[in-house]
Amino acid sequence: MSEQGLVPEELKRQYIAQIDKGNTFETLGVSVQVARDYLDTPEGSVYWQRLAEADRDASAFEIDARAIEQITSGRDLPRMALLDEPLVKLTRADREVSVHSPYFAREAEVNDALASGRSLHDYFGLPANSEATRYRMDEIRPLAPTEVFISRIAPTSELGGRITRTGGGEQYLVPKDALIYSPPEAS
Amino acid sequence: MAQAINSVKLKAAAEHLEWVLQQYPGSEEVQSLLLALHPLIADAKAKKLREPFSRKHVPGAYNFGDGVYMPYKNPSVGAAYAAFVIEMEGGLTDQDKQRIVRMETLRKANKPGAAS
Repeated sequence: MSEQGLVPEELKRQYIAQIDKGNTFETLGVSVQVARDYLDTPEGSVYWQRLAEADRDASAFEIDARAIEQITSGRDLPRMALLDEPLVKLTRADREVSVHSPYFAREAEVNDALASGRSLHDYFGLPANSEATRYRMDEIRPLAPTEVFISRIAPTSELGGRITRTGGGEQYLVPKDALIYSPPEAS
Repeated sequence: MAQAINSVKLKAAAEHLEWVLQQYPGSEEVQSLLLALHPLIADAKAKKLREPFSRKHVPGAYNFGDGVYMPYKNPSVGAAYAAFVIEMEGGLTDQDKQRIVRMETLRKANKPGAAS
């Protein structure tokens, strides 16, 4: 890794097409079977239902597959909590925020990441196409108290292991489209 | 129960996914997915894949979970992608089938306007 843990420019140039859209990015969290078993619990059922409510046109097969992918992004299973405070979304400073993404964090967790001395992309396990030296931090607020699912971010791998991230930060999975963005601020 | 590849179903899922992705020639993210999936789709169409393949290793998995393909609804990239990865893993498990039926029933019951 180069300065601040960024992917070396040479590697970026060599694999620009693969890195650009993040198609080889993998999260190395709980197994698919563990995620399946979680979805069969009462909390998992709530997760599934909230995801379905946010995408009413999607088939049950698609909702199920998307839920499994999201849950396996954690190194542990999510625990459900009721959220009534803002969260933040980290995005490269030169990019627009991804409006359908269910992954958020508490601002205090971002501060912990900065205080740790680790890069934000390593702490939060971001794909290479999302890494930067500067991030925008968009605040997002619940319209009403809403269920969120909290887990520790799993290690990640990209380009068949050429790029790895440690993860370990706390992520808030918000499957339902129940949050609204406040005006952005630079970080 | 161990899952096994059904090469006929996998071929059909691969052909459908390829067709769906081709319907968005102006989308860089969809065309990038098509390019990344090309080797797997080609092998699936040729019935060369014999062993189940974890969905976590199928290109585009994270983007799928991140909602990147949600705007592409007609035809649905997400539905075609999900069907393909399910067949790559050897089809739905009995546990999956039971959960999907249970959750779909609940979903219909909770749909706005559904009789209570």
